[in-house]
Amino acid sequence: PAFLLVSALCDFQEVVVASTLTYDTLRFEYEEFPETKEPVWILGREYSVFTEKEEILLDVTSRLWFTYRKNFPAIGGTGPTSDTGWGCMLRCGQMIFAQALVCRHLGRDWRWIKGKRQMDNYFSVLNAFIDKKDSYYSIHQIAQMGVGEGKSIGQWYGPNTVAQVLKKLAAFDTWSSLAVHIAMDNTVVMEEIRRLCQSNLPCAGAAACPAVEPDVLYNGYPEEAGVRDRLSLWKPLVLLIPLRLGLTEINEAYIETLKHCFMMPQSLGVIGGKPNSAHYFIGYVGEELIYLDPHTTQPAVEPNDSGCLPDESFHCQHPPCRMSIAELDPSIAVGFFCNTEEDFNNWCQQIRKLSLVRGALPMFELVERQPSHFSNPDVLNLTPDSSDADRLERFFDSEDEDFEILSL
Amino acid sequence: MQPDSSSSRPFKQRRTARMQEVAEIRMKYPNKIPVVVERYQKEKTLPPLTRTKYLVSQDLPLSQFVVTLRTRLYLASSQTFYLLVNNKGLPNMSITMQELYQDNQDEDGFLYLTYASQEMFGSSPSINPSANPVSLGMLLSGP
Repeated sequence: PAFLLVSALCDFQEVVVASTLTYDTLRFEYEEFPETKEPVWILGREYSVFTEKEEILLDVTSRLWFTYRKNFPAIGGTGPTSDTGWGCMLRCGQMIFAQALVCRHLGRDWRWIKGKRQMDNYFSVLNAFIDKKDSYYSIHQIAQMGVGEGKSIGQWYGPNTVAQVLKKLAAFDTWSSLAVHIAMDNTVVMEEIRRLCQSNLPCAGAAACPAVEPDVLYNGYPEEAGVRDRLSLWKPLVLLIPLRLGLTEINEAYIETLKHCFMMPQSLGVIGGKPNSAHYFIGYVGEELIYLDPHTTQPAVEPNDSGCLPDESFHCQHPPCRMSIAELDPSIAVGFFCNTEEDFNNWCQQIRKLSLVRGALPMFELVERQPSHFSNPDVLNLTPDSSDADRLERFFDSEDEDFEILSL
Repeated sequence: MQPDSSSSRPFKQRRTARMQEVAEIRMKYPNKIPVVVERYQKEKTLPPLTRTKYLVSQDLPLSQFVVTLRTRLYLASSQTFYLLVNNKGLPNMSITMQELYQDNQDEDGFLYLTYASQEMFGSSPSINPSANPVSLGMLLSGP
């Protein structure tokens, strides 16, 4: 009841000015969900505002919320001790990846309840993102790994930048053992993903992966040996698809497709934002996106004397922010998590169905394999190696006035 | 080598007799598609192309054309490169240039493609990445 509705926005300034700054007045910044018959979609789950308001808020609060922090150990020993002003896309990358880890280790149905004792896996997930140099996906690790992507520490990231960095960092997280695939050129190649998820390289040594003993894993299951082997080798997949859905603003033909991404059970949400401000989008209602905002600076958190990590500041306990879909900056990355091969096959099916929906322009293409010229260098004499530049000169072999004629 | 045309006005504004130009080139090369490829005016990461106008085989898949442009710009495979048709949509990569041309050619007879990477997000102007020449150098040489 203390929340403002949209129609009361004009009073907003006065309310804030007139109030003293307490927790309750802070809540005035956030609008409650509109009373609407439209369903609310949060990361693949459908809710009704009328009957499930508590469940919606509990789902949102359960997501890990990473914001700007201050007073953390200096990045690289002598670098920044706060990411205010530059870390928003790095924080959004942490949030979408934390959601993948939650799905992997706790499940989509897991809920965070304030004050309730959580299981060990929860603290292991949270610890992977804490602001210190040796956490798998800390702001320290992301900022330093970004140097390899041409980003010095403190520079702004785009959705693809943070996706590329997280993919590299995930290789060190043997606890999660994720297959991270980033689909470039708005094309998802199924064959590449299957090869990645079925690769057993990290498990090559028997000691490194003792659980892949068919008798232990599949005792009592009647599957055929081939199916068993495939299943045992499927690594949980984090699929990130960086896109640009327009130049200055999002092409509205993509809006329906974007909404559908939040309806899939495999949804990890979307990282993107408004110009200059990165957000982690977790769902939508009507024509509005629902998001977690990293633009609040909180003090860095350290384990207390008893070794426990105070975790309340990692959960957004006010109603989530909303914005019109039309305001979305066109540069985004869409994320999905497929725990099993079956999940992935189901995801492919949904994407194919979606391409048949009228008025929903596909944001990316799903293809079985890379077009032949990508994989077969003989066809067009083009391989992705360093000698391409020399070969290309032959493609641009003649000119007619100002035209460059490709002899392909 | 031509001067960098991407930093000047868009092709459409620079050139007036475009229809006639297309008619002439189509007569000379009936199996090639006249394509104008320009860098997004606000692009900060991707380098400019030295050429604006291309004649491309009509049965060339768009994906192959993208590979060609990516290679020309010395892009690493992890860098984003989006080719938007008529400044709006991301075309399906598996269609041919002819198919793309049929649905999207301009009334002057050219096919207009614009390339862009992704925007960067942040709010503190003091560490704006676009102003940093070192990062551009690293980017061009790849990781």
